[in-house]
Amino acid sequence: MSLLILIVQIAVILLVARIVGWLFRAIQQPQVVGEMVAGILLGPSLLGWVAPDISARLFPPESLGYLNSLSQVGLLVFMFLVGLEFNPRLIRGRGQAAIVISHVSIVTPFVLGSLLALYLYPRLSESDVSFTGFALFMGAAMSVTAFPVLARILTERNLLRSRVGTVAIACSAVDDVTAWTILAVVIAIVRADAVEVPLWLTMAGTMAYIAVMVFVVRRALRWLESFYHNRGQLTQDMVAIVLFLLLASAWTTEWLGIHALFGAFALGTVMPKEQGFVHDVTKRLEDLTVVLLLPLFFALTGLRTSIGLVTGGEMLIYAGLILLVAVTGKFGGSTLAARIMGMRWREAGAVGILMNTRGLMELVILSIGHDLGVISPAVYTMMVFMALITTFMTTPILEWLYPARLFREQSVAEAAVDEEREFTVLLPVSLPASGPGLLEAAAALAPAGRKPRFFALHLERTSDGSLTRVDPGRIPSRDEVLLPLLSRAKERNLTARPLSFLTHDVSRDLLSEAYTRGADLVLMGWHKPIVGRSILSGTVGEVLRRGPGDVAVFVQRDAEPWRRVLALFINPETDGTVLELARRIATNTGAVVTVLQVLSSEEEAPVARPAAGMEGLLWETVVSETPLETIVNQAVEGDYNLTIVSTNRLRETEPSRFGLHSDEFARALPANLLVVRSGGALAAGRVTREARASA
Amino acid sequence: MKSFGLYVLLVGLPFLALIGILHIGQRLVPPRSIGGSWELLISSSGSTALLGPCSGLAPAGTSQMRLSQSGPHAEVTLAGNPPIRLALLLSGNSVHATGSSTGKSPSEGCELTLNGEIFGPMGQERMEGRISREDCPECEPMNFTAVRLSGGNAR
Repeated sequence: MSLLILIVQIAVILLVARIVGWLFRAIQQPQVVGEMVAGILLGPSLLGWVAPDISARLFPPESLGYLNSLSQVGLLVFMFLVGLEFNPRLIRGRGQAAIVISHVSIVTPFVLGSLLALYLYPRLSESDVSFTGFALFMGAAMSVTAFPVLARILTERNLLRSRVGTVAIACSAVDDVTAWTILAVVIAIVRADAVEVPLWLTMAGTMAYIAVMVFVVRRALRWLESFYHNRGQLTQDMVAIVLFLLLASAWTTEWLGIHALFGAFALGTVMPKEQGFVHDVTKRLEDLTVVLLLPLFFALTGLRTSIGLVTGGEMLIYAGLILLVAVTGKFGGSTLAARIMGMRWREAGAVGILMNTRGLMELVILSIGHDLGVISPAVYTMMVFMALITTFMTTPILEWLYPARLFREQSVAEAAVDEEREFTVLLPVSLPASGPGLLEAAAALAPAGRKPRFFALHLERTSDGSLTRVDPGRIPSRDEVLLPLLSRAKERNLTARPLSFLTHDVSRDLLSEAYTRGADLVLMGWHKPIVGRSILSGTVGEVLRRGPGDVAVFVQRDAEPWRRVLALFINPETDGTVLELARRIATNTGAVVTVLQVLSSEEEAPVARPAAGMEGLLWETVVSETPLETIVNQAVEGDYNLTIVSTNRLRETEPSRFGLHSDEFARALPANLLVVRSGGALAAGRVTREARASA
Repeated sequence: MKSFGLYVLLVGLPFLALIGILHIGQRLVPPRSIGGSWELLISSSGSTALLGPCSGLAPAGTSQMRLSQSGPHAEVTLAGNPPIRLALLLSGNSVHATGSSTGKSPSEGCELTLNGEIFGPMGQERMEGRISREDCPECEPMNFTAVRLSGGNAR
């Protein structure tokens, strides 16, 4: 019977968490906030109030032990993943500012929280709890920042690479380590009161544990990293080793008296930080933890949270004070410190509101406090709502303080500082093997007289519910997806700068980079099977429609140098790009380029060949009622290994000639295909600042 | 040097303030602890025991009572089917609690009042008092004795 109930509980919690999480995503809030709310809805605040019988049957008291155990395991893995994401590179270049801002953002709410404890202790605590324990715990609980949720908000708003984002991430990373260390001390003090273990003994044990972790375990883990590299993948045995170490570390800190979660976090921080290793470990552990186990923790939080405890004027005043102190301390402290360290007020405010995000980390700390008995149920409930409110308010206030428009303007301004008269090409790469071909194609399309500058961009999509993937410490030049392209650029003595980011919205971020970098040309690859999926759809279609400057899609079938090129020419207004690119290819590669003009009937007058600049091109004119078939036949018979076509005019006036048949056309061509769109003045080749800012 | 000075000012000084706060707080006296599990023994005062949905409070035998304390307020959960929840107010060593069971219909619910005094040193608390039914004038109040089994709101 217990197992049946547990299965039903898990199923209900999973379903409700997903639905409410989805609803919160729909209102631009992080999914985790929705899952936290879902937990509260399943508790006495809603379900227990409107349907107490159902609540009693679904969550009988005797069943909560199993649920609690599962949720604690989930928390252990989660804290391990948070520690795993901690990378000293996050602080690089911003160490001084990050430490000052972070520590001020901790000590200010800590002191204010302890000050508030002077007022709340005689009103909401009891004689079994010492003032020291209560005040220190209140201070610690007020001072935490939710690093995973903060990172999530920054990723979704595309602020991870902004000045505000990098400072906030660095501060939050320092915050995490500092706050958890402080919390370990607080827990030791609280438990020392209760179990009569001398505090100095606990502290000595903890110092010894930290020393072993840093000087022994961290070095020993390099063996694991080597093993990972030798095998080229993360095996199940390696995962087992990681999990065993996690449990051993958690057991040790629990035995020492500073809570098992600290051990899980500490192990995560000493794990190897090589990008691939971190990525693979996270991938293996995150989904099960975030999707299945964490919602159980949220449900248990909800079961302990009763809004009925915070009714009446007196209780509401206490709750209001807690919220006020929390926001004043964290937001105020962080903003002031950021301002003092040289940021403008608006940016400092943005850092402040981001640091005010408490989210899941606050709930973890509160659950520890509840289990220790150092905070009463009423204080617990008030703090839970404080955590929800401070997290919920982050996104709207951030948008008000630091709107996306400001960030774009700042990025454009920063990019403008570096601008030279270079031909800038943005190359989005998703498969390592496609990189070199894209680079070669881009090099062939560069205009003479202008130095080409390439940006190789790898956008890795994050999963919807991902909590802990941040990766601001990733090194683009070592991104495996970009390595083949970078290697080819080096061989060809070309300037290729790697860019590598996590993204929640590929097309949005790709367009943003195109505008920010002032791309004259965005050249995308197409590698999906061309069956039932048009080239003109999805991310590629989105960029073709909205990209700045010129946009092209390169369907590569072989890596042979272009010897014979066929360019389809129908209308000079819309196919001017095709002509220009054909000319450049002829100039840059020495290929034999034929421009094929297709007339629909004998009566149609052919377009005159442009007088200048097209000397290296061959011209042919044919009459055909089925131009696509004609092109395909010509390409096959003429042994052309590249065909160039334009989308613009064809899509607008004769969609059936290309739009709906683009995939058939692409399938039928035996060799490489370049699909181009004209979006700007190709001859000038520069995007105006106004066009960028208005994107 | 400037950053170090700022750090001392912005972090060091508040830390000193914290020490002062912790010192001042030692003088504060919170309400006595009554949270946790209690063993409740209800003795009949000679008359009929409480009827209906309050029948879980049998006059003979013991039952469990759980107190979830927040300062002078506590939520009392009395064993029953369904459980009976009372809102308790602690005033010194006196307790006063009222509440009702969540019966299937209003006519099946009962409204209880608990009044008592707490005796004994910390860790060996006893509570003695009376439980009465406000909505049942013919029901005699019952005397009770409770012994605290374990302390704290959550362990």
